[in-house]
Amino acid sequence: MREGLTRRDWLVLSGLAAGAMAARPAEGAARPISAAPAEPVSVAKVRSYNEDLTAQFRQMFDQIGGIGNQVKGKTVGIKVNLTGGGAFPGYTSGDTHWVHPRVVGAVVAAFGALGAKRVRILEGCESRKRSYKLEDKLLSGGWDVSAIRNAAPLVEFEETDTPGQAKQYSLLKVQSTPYVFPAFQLNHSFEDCDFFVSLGKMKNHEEMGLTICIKNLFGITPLGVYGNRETVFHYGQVQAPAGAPTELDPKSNRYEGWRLPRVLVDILGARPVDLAIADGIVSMVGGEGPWVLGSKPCHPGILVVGRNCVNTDSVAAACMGYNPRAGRHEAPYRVFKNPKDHPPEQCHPVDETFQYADNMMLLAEAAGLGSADLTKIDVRGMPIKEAMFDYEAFWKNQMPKGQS
Amino acid sequence: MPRSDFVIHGESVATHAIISSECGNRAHPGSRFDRAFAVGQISTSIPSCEPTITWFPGLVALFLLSCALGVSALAAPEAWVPVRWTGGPLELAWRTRAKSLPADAAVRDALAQWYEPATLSLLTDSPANCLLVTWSAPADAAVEAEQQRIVKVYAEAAHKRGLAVLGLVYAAGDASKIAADAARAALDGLVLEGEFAPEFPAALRKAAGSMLVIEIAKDAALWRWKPAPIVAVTGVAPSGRNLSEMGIRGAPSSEPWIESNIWLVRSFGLASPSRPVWISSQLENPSVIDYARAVADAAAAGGRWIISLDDALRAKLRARDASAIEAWRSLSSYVKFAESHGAWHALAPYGNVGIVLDPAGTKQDVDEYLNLATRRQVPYRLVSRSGLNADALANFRAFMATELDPPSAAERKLLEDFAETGGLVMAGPSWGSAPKTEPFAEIPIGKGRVVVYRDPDPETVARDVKELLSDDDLGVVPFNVPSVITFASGGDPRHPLLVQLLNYFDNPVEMITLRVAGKFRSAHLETPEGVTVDLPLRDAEGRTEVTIPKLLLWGAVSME
Repeated sequence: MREGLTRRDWLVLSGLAAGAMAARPAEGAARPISAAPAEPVSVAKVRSYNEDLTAQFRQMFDQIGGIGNQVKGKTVGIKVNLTGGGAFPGYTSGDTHWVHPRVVGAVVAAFGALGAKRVRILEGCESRKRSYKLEDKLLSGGWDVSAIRNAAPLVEFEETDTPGQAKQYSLLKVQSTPYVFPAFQLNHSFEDCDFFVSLGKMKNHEEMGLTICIKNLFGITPLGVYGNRETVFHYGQVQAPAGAPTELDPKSNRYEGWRLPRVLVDILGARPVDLAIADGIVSMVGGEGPWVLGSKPCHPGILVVGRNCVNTDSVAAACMGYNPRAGRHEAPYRVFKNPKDHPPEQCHPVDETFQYADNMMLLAEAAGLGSADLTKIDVRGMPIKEAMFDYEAFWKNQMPKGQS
Repeated sequence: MPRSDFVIHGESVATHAIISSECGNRAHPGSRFDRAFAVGQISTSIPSCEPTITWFPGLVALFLLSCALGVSALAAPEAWVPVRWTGGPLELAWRTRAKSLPADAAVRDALAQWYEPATLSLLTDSPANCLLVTWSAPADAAVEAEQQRIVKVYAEAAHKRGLAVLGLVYAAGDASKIAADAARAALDGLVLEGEFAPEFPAALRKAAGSMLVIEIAKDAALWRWKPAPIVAVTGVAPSGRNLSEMGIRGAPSSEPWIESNIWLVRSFGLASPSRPVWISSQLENPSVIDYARAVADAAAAGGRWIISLDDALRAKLRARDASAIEAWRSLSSYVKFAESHGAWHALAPYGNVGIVLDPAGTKQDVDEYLNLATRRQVPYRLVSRSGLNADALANFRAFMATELDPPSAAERKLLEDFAETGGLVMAGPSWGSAPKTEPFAEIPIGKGRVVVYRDPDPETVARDVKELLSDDDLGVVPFNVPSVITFASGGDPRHPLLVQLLNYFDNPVEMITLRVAGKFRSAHLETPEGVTVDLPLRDAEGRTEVTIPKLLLWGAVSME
């Protein structure tokens, strides 16, 4: 955050002159801000999953300039966020830490109506069971798979931790300047799609601060290749297995808060996103799933849609009450860790329980993948200030009366 | 004359024989008429679950006669629905000694006065028909004598209502005196609850003669194979909580922590003859749904929860508080539901996974295997180690044989043959060829394989079996059940497949899917809340899927 400007100042200014706050890039992102693209982003206030979401998405697609030409007659791949399992009492996983099935159904229906030839739902299932399918994972979250299958003329589901329908994985090179990895082996569907959508959840992340549409892409790295994402990508404890692209500098910083945001930007560089959709109608604060201590559900009532993933995440972060240009020691990137729950090597320094993560949006901006500067992003639909739900205040039980 | 007998007109008919039946481990008379009918079966020693028409007119006459005389027929022990009905001066003295006396004076007063005849009217529309009353505890002789005088009068009134009365013994004492006093008070049996030296129960049984003596066992293993008319065992208070609520940082794949007795009830299922299983557990600050869950959790696999109302509720019941009466009615409705579905418990457990239970086994982790296999929704059947043979293995797809440590040469040959034909055997390191670093090694044998664990732990094995087997091999696969335990039974050519589901969270679960191997014509959901609905069937690549729109607490899907 710009020197002399507090988070409270940011909240007051957001939606007014927030974007004017050009800030320093995240520490460690030593590259100059390039002419990163900035495209329109649509924001909507949607109170419930029972509303007509298909109509809502059609309207938001129109607000960002329309996507019909890119979708008609094409194969659309949608990476959905289905992190982990479990549920908060009284909530489904789709409410809080997965994208909601009605959002997925509505998006599929909207693409179908726009003439998409094929819509593929994509996600890794993290299951060792040989016959396990993505549909099984969806059923485990209480989804009506048939309804989604019937929402467009041809809907397919692909488990992307395996080669799936292909005989081998596809090699996708990082098209931007890579930070850590030059390329990734991925399920063929990420290559074999004309229009790629990252459909993420607007929630916190225990280590990365935020999970929106960039972080959603982490799950496209197949376990069938990398085996264990934590050891390979989070901590760099082991190198990618033989046959998979190796990291550029095996001696680079192993600290998760430094490493993972850069890996995420590399993944985005390898498989650029054509449309980013952030589901914040119902969500959670304090972590990416109910297994994170101190996390809890919230009802922000927000949808954000944009063509550029970095732009969209930046606007979504602002709608969550965060400065999209925040530095590593500011919320949400200043992360509390209980040393008892984490490996000692992850406590950095060892006597410090507050950890950091670098801002992945600023890293992506520096890589030229999209602007995180609200002054350059054309926000359409509802102004950020009106849509905003302050995650940090809700997490800390500091919400103004009537908003909690 | 022991009151364990069937009393009609002051005469008794010996009923200490327990129904020995292959049809299930308990009878489920739904009404007083039905109970009389069931007792009639016992008194004539017909070892069958099926109603015998030839006895019908006589039994009707007996029933009508007993009604005319204002004496209700006492149910047979296997039909007893127990309720903890403690009170009186001895209960207060015992609680004072145990430092568990309620702080609230009104509650203390309710306990002290509990054996006023009026409290029996609370049982008028309740299926509970067996009262566990305070009988013996270390106290002044005068207090104990007064207690027994009060209980004797109360028991007489209870018997007139067709209620059995069992005396609770909290601590060892003079076995002969306890038994003799109980006989004089015409109690139907004694229940030992607490810590006792091993010789005391034996002495009490000897002194009690034909009177039932039931021990509430803390160690289930001791009673898994022992003959007993009724098995009572200490269980857990059924509940479900997310790990984070318990201050535990779980993994993304972590599931809620569930406390359940379903596995425990099932663990008694191999003994022959079968016996009613009572689960003893005290709920902490229970809600209405907690009571219902305790009933359902014990009943799902054919057991019975010893209904245990908390003191505050009982005080309100005595004061005829409307909310307390409603809570009691709600609890009773779940008991009625359980008791009216006795046919469910006559169904054999369904499952293609076998788990070996060794009557002579001393390994402590067998309970955890059963608990976690149940928790992880593994449809399993138990097989006694002594009953292992080729025929017994023929109908399984997998076998959890980690308890065979080591397997005998004959058992090893049997399991190898099982694997040869395509079966999966999960074995401990004593099998041989255990890996040094990996959790397990898969050793192909013929069409099947043996999975040898380096250091098997029940949690891992229960998870792995679901991943190592296909859905077809598992037979029944539920989805969206993190807070639910499922129990499948039946499914043989003569019986429908029944899948019971019990939700351990207070919030309902929506959209639970059951994927079942094979084709079915119909599926029907029934719940204690009165939902009875046909579920649409879906074909899923040769299997059948049904979706339960909403599960509040307990439901059963019957598929034919």
